[in-house]
Amino acid sequence: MGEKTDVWQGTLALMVLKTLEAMGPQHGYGIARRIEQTSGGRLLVNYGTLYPALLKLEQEGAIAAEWGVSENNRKAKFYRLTRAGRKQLAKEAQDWERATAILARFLAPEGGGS
Amino acid sequence: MRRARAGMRRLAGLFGRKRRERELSAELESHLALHIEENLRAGMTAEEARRQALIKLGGMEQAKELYREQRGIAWLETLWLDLRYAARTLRRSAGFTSVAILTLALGIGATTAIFSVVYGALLRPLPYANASRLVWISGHFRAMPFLHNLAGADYFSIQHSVDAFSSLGAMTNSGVALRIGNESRWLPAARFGRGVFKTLGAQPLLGRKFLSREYQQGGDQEVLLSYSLWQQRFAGEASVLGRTVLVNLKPYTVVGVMPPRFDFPSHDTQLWMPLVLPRAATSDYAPDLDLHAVARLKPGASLAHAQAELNALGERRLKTSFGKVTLRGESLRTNLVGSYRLPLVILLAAVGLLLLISCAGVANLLLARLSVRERETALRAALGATRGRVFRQLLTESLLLGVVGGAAGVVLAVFGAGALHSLLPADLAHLAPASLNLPVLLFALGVSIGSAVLFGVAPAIFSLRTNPGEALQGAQRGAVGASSAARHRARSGLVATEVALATILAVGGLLLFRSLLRLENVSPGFRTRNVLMFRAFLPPEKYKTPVEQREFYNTLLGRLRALPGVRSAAFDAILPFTGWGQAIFDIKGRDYPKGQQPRADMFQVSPGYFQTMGMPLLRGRTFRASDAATSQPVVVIDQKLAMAYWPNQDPIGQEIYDGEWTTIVGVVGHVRFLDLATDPGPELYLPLDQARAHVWGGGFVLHTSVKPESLDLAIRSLVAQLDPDVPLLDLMTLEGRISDTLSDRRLQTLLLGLFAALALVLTAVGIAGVISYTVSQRTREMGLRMALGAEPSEVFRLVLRGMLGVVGLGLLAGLAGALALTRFLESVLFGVGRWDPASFAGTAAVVLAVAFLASYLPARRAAKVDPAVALRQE
Repeated sequence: MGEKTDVWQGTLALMVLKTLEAMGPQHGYGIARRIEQTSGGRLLVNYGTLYPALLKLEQEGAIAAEWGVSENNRKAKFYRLTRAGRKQLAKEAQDWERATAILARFLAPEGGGS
Repeated sequence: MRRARAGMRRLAGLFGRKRRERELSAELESHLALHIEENLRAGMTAEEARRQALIKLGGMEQAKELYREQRGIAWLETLWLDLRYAARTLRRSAGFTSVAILTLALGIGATTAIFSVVYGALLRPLPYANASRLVWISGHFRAMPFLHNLAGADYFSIQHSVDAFSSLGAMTNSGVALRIGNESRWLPAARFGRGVFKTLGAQPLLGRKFLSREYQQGGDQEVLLSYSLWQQRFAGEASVLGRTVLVNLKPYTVVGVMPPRFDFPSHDTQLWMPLVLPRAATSDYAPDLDLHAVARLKPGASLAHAQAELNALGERRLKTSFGKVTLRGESLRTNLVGSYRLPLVILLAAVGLLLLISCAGVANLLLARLSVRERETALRAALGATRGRVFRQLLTESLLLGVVGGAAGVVLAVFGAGALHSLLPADLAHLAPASLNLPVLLFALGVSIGSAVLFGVAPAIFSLRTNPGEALQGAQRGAVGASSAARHRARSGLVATEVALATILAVGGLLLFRSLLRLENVSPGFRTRNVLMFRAFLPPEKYKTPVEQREFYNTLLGRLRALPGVRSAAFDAILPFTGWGQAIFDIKGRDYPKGQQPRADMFQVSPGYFQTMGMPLLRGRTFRASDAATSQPVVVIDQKLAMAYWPNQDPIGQEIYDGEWTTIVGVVGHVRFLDLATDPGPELYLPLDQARAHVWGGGFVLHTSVKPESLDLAIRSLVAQLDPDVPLLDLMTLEGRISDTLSDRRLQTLLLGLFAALALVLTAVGIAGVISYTVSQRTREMGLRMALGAEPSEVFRLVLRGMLGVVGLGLLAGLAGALALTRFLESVLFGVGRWDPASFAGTAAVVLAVAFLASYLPARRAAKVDPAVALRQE
């Protein structure tokens, strides 16, 4: 537990936000499937861990939830991005890109830089 | 901002739990349904579709648990659930719970009761502003170990030249006769010089302090009353202000009443008057003046700084008649608590050991229960509880036990502290009130929680090692797994620890007990049975000269001798076991340099004294009525003085100089007059009629043919008839007085003995518990052994042998610990060494006997196993 989860939850939150931006309101199962598909099946994770992440985003006000009906007529809880969530997504995506860019430079073959 | 909002939501998450639970179930159900549908579409069977969906979710309950942790303030919610669960569990196993709580209550209760006294004496703030800055100043002399006075000149030079003090005041301590109505009473009183009130920062509860002019010659006509005196003698009425009372037959005006906790300089001081200390005060020491000073340290100045200045001052001081003086400054607390500090710390340490034993006992019980609860914890783990969650649950249970045990302990402590308080010496009882105040209760809470962590952590860690799979398969009874073996080792270790700690306590208890026995058997050198003693206080205003004083004493003595039931009576200026007086003298024909002259403890006694006290006359004669003021001055010396200065000579007829040349006429036995433990220096007796000094509070000793207490009233009325202005004090039997001097020690021995006994009982419970468990675990093995031909007595021995190893190990560790720790007891022992073999051997015998008894019953049960039944048990 501890920090590992936090790191994972942080990236998971970003994936959830991006998924909701791309797909519009979606239920938990849909979000999980979408993340799995986007990652090309390389992210193997229990779907169960998604729900605490959703709850955390909801508590923070980045997403809102309401009960609705799914495409095949099942009652399900749908999540959608709020305005605060959009701002958070933009900021976190930027942070993430910056961080990966820095890491990429570190990991680039030596002699490449000045 | 985001965090704050999330925090609020999480707080809200604590409420509406049922609705949220329903929603969570619904959401996860719909998730599963969606997943199953998709799996079905992919061509799986219904069963396989559901199984795969559950695996992918990571288990329904596990998912819920993860979610719950994010939902509310997890630990708070968990704590509440755990507490309720713990309460249910504990209620279910009432036997375990009551033994655990009783064990804890004993440990925590005893610790709290002792701490209440320690807190009162060593930690509770004294009732003065910023009391830690107050310094008590006294003078010390190597040759006069009991004299701690200052001379007036010392006081003025401290005032003049010590820089570390911001204020300073002198005071004297003495008793006075207070006349109320027709009755004259002796009361402890003090005189305060200018500056004492300011230094203490004290204010009267009622009325005013002394005015500046009242500290001057002829102006000291005012008195302040203690709160208790005001309540008892003046009915607590404000009209007492302005009233005139007779103090030593002189009129004084009551100007104020001090607050209840004001107890300076002594816990029993009842009256305060101004001290007139003229500038041209005496430069030598007057033991009967009893002058001391109290000072307040300047901001920034330390006690060490002040002491350095006092040392320098002492160095400059010219030789006094008692030799070189050392001026000593100590914190007021040190002065008040003084010799009690060490016994208190010893008792606190001892009760701490007892607390450790009770913690070890409860840990042992918890470990035993763990094997019963293995399946339960395994089930919880299988149902999605994380290891941390199980750990926390077990710790919560321990905490609950600790707090409930602590509450029961506080109840015990209330009674314990009450009983303890009534046994404390008066000055200590005054410092430490019997009630349990807030700091003491907080201490009890802290101790409870600390104990819970102490006894709860190890069992909880063991629970984590359990393999859920194994446990759920119902690990067959009798099959001893690796974790179970580790637990057994831990339990044996705990029992060994209990034995070791109890051994240390028992050694300490026995050492003190043997010291007390030795001390009680010390003969002081005089008769103790059927001796009554008292003092008569002559108001100095009325009995101005030594001649008048002696006249009164002789008249009273004559009447006492005529009293029915009195065999003989005598005068003694200082009663046995109440005080001392010293003399420095010269011997005719010998030359001693100044400061190295012979010294002796000196007593003024009447004829008949040695006979009344049953002291043996070794040579010469005792005093006679003819040894009068006008006849040849004579003294009687004791054997020790004779041996010291006339080892090969007859001292009778030798002359010594003590103000005048005096002839030695007799030698009597040496006595212990201070207390039973102290062997004082040589002793010297002067006849009452030839002594030249004032004696205002002379003592009388009576050897009675009836019960000494029965003469109480007769003596009081006799003295009242003779002079109603003369109050009596210290009326008591000599046996009672000797017993009083032993009471501190007796209390300490009683408490340590009690702790040791409790420790042994708790240890016995621990041993019996482990043996019972071992027997129940090994019933099958025992049955097998017997079926194969082992005799019941062999089985019995087998069980006992296992325990003997554990107890032996604990005993050896305890004895070794005691060898080291009794160092701290050394100063309170009497007549036995700290490595007293009898105490150590006695302890070993007692511990082994207790261990054997505690093992015997459960082990016998093992021997009674019916092989057929035991083997069929599976």
